[in-house]
Amino acid sequence: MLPYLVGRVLQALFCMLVVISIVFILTRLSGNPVHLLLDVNATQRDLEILTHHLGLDQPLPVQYAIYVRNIALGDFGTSVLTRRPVVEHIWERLPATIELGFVAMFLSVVLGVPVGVYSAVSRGGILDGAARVFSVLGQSMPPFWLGLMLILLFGVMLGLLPAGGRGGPQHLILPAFTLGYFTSAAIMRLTRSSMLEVLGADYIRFARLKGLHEQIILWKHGLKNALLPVITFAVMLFVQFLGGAVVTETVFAWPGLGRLILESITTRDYPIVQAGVLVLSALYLAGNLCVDLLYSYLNPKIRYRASSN
Amino acid sequence: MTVTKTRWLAGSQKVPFFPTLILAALVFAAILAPYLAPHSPTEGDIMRKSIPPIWMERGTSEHPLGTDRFGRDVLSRIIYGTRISLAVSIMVIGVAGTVGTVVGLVSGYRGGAIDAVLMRLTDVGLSLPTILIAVVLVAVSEPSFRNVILVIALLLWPRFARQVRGETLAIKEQDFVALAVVAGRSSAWIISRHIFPNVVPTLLVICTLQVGYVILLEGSLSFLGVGVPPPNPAWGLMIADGRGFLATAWWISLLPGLAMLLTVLAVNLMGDWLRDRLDPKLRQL
Amino acid sequence: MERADIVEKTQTVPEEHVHEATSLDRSTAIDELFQQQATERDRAKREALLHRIQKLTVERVMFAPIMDNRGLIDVGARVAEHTINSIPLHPFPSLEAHILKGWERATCNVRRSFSCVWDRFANRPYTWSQRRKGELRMRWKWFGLLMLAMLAVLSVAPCRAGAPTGQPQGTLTVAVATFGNERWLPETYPGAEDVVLKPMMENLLSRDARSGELIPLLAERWEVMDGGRTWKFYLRKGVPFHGGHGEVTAEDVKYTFATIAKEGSANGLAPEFRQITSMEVTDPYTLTIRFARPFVIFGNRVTQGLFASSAFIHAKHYRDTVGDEGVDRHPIGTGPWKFVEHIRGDRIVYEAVENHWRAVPHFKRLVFLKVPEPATRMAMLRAGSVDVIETGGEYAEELKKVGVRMLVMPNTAWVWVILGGQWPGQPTYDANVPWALPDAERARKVRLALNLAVDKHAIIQQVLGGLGTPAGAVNFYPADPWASPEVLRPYPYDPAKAKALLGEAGYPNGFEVTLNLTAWPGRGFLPDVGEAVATYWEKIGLKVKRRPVDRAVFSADFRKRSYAGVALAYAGPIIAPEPWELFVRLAYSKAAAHLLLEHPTLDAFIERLGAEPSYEARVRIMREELGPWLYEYMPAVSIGATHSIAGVGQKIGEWPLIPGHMGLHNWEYITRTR
Repeated sequence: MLPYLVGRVLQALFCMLVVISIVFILTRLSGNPVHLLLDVNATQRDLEILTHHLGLDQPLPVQYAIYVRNIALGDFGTSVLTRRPVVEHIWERLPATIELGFVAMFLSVVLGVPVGVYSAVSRGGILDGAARVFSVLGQSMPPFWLGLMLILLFGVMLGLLPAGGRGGPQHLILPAFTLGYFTSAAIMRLTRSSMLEVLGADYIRFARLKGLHEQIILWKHGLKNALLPVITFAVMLFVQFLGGAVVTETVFAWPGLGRLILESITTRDYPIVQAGVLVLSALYLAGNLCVDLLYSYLNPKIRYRASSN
Repeated sequence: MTVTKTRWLAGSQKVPFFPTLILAALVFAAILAPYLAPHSPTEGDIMRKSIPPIWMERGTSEHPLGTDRFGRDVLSRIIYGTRISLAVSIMVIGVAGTVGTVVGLVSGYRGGAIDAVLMRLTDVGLSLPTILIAVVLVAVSEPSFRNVILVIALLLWPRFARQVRGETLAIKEQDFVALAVVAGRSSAWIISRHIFPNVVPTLLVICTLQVGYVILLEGSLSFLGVGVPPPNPAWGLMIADGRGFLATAWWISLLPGLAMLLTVLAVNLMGDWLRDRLDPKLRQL
Repeated sequence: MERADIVEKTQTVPEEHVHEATSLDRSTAIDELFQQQATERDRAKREALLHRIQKLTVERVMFAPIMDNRGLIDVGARVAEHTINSIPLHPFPSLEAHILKGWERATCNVRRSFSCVWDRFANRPYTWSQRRKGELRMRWKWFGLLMLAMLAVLSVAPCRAGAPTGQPQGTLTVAVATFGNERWLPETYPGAEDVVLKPMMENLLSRDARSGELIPLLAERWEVMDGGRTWKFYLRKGVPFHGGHGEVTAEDVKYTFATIAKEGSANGLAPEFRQITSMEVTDPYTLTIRFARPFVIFGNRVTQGLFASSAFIHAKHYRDTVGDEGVDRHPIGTGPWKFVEHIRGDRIVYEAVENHWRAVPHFKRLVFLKVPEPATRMAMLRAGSVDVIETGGEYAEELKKVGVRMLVMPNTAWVWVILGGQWPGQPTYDANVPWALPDAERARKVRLALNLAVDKHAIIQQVLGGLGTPAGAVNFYPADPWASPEVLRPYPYDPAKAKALLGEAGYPNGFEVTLNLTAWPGRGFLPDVGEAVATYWEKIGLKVKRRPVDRAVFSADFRKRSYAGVALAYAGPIIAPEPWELFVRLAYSKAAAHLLLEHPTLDAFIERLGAEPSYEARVRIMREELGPWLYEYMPAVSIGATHSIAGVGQKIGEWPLIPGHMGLHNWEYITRTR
């Protein structure tokens, strides 16, 4: 187990290095941010002073080396625009992203699991067909369009829910639903197939033969076992939401980390872009690693394989 | 296994009707766009801006789906938009599919050091948060048609590589491959003659499943303003254009979104059906 | 068979891929065995068959291929081979079920007897009808209790009598597009985003909301001497800084101006403040500023009454005491609102200063929210979660449709399409740009053609929502005393003549031009204007390539004058009353930026006007010479004067605004509706 774990962690570190290298190179090549910081009237001398102050006048490899060394020491640098430590910016925005991801995952599961269970149990019925439609629609709908239509319906026409920003629970519903609907379809399909697999298994037949009540079979034996892959999948979804909520955050003006990165690209605030991508990628990779470990723990075959190696 | 008896794509050995119809219509629209579209997609008269669709009051038959904020006809833009969506997805799948297939075949067949290296690379590629990296990469390089295709292909090829490698590993164990090796055929010959044709069904399934994803990803990039540049009638751009005007001119955002939804829906249904037909191992999904 | 046997048996099975064929075999074997045992009469044999079924089931489950979920989700690095799949199945009932069942069985007797005792104790009825009556009685009891509780709460709750009028009440929430770089030190804010700075800080002078004249603010009077070379300010006495950090003195003013002017300053007024040669503090409330050359309009640089007026007065000894970090974390000023909180990138919160020397606000709190998307701002206003939003002319119709009140600030910016490349004296001059050819006649024909091709009236009506006036010479506003009717007349709309002119100028088939689509703070309509202009130019045969580019990238270009052949829609705000004061910043060969043109004649005008102390003389020069020359020369496609708008909600009563000031201000004068 341990060599596997170490190997995966090293691989994750390497991934992150690749990611930040790519982002570093591209942001540096795209232009000097100093122009946005100074007024139209600033002289060339002012530009030079600021550039030197920010350390942007050194050659690219030197900047890269300094940056990697700082990351290793835990120093993410200071924002070019606001001159505050980048960590502060990220720390301010990360909770919003995590909150949104968590609620979206929760909604996803709450939407997907019952529908999946129902459609597995009553296969072929009209509700099964409806569930199938729900699932396919969920994976085909552009999430930003769904968000806009929800704003149109609930925000503009009905005036029930706020159209954006972060605040109380009513601000969370629409963005979490938009994010979660797309993946609830996947959860529904997974639950359905997992339930079907479990319900078709022999120990269920055994239990029926023994004369157990159908409800107990369904919930105690069936669902509990079928839910294991769904839970691990849901955790992976949460991790995915952390990185992929950029579009939803933009539509609903949610003050999260994805939007911070997008805004920082516009203002050419490199340290924030680099650190933000680093943090999100790190969370993403760590999350995937946890999920993989969970899978290998739960799957006896891999466990045996790993232990016999 | 008992589960196979409960196929939930009920009774469809023949081609599914609606997805095929929609896809055919889309391809038709994309190819014959100049003849089908009543107006030019980029020329507009701002004196005729925000005309509603024909079924509302103030709608005219000249602009059946209305006009956008610069007076451009929405129907024509949607028709030309199919070109962009299909072109982008076909090119992306082409590039990513080719690279991914080659990598998968070589890595699966060869094994050893090459396999290890290529798989590390694939894992790195698979471990990136897709939309975030896509946005960052396209935003810092200048948003253009070519950059969008390159970036999405760059993020997508590992998925192909992984699946193809898995298939290759399974096929490699078969007897006819062993026979070919014994008979002294070169690896290239074996790969191209034996392995690749057996990989094709899975490849087709993956391609079809990814087309929908690529269309949505390109739409998201255009929506955020870092995709295909204006005034190209990309659907994502049209949705973003109408974003501030949901109360007065909702058709600018709603109709292209519907078009995108229908396209991706048709492609996904088609992919499901193909998967059912071609790849029995994945049938339970 | 014991469980231990099964475990032992399975551990000796060798590790190998189990293909589906084998598991299918097991399945059919199991089915057959089931059928067999159903018809078997001999008990021992049936038991043996069941044991065999159980063993086969366990084997099958342990080594069956499990499903691959990757196709569903396609994310992340998963296990390597496709034949190792991933739904684990537990053949044995879970441990928790065992424990739960055991617990239930062990305690059922205890629980049963306990519930009997409890029921007797609570005197619960046992029969159905008794139980029903009891339930109803309980329901009424609870209802009665609830009513009592509500009455109690209502009577005890404090009276909601309104506070005496005149006391600040309530919160005013404003959604703006950007906070700028969110810094509070005078040498760090450029000034373009002064919407969030104005509530808290004050300048020396201001402008009257009705007449637009310079009026005293922190300086109660001022004198201009030596033809503009010496300015003397007499400060108001007893103006406190927030938080009890002393009063405004001449030392504070001197320190502020020196900081703005220091090297490396990002403040927009730095170049002008660097012209100060000396500042004398004669007594604590008097400051004398001297310039080398006459600076007749210095008053416009220290006024609160215009956009981007960033010479706010800061407290010297506060910064000395708490340091730069302290000021950035908790800034102070002299304005009617004091700093409460700043969450970077999200909100800035101010609170009313209740005994302010100038104006006590009507609202207790002023909250700025940063919401970059205009659509979201509008939705928030409509929903009532904000009271004021920054918005642009392109949303005017939408605002009208949804019934939102609109505040219009007329004539605050001038829209023109920059034709880049008109810098003949610079090294980056490209002689092939059609509108900047060395042959002045031909170039002028091209510029005239580009002007005639665009329907300015339509652009103002359709793109800017009717909020503007089409006009001729750049930056000559309709109500200006130096704008004669001739220069105010917009260039006509005549595409046929435009095409003919292009042919005459030597471009019968048009030419290629790149049009940048760039938004500027507070002027988000500019990309739309650019797009509309592009469609008009395409109609006369030009090939227009649109390039959405953000301001950061373009800043580099317009400083280095490296965008020859590129056109761009721009809106120049009013930063000073007279047009040449804007030209000196962006249409002057010695200026840092180029956003219009450079020409020796214009340079001469600017220098002449800058040295002319008499207002009437300046008006005459502008009216009779500069205006007509600019109109004739036609350096850009001039669209016209535009208004800025803001969307306001129900809470806002009256709001006096200074004419010509782009951007929101005068928050302390907003009254509440009853």
